[in-house]
Amino acid sequence: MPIIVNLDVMLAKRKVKSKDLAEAVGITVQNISLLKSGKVKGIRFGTLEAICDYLDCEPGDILEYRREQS
Amino acid sequence: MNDNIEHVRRISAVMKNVCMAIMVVIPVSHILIWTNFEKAQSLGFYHRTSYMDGYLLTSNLVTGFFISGFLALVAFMAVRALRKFFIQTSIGDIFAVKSAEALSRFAKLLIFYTIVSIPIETLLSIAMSFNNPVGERLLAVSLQTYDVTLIFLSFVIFAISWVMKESVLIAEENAQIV
Repeated sequence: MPIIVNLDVMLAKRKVKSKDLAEAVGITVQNISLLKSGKVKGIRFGTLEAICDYLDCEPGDILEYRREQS
Repeated sequence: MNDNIEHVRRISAVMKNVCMAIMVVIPVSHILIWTNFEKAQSLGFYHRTSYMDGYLLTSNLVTGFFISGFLALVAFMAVRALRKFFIQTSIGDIFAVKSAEALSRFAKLLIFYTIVSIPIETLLSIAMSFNNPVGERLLAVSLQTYDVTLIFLSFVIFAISWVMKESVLIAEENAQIV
């Protein structure tokens, strides 16, 4: 999929653990893990908002569009 | 909510056993009917077939056994699909793809059974009256209110199973959104 989730990069930049983010956002660690690996079909605006709020970043810092080479 | 699920599970467990019993009854009754055909017909089985006394030979019965055996096989497979559905619901997998597929398969087999039973009964009428004297052979094509009702109900179950299948897919997709 051309949408890349850079959540792990942001977590490393902010030195935040997945467990802490999960608690702050109100989702499970498993879902954070799935999100980090990009194995999800979508992300709710509410979740994205909470992540951006906690990590003090923009949605574009977490999600990236990389064009697929044909 | 949990009480309702528990109730559904309990009823499904009972229905699963009922289906199992029907799966045993179908082949046994099929054999019993065709080995005691005249008595079975007096009890109402295959009352639409017609033969003349003294003209019912073993060959008629054997042919009839195999022709209606196909219908019994379809009914058996339909009940087996329904049992699979109840197995899923009895373990609490109510909104699962497997349950929806089992219900859909049951509905499809029920539609097939109802539609195919019309030409099968026609064939049966020929087979059972084949040894009748010339001019007394019968080709009966019948469509009763019962058949129409069954076709209608089959389509209703099929539509429900389709909706259920689509709902399950949507629910699964929603579960993949965090």
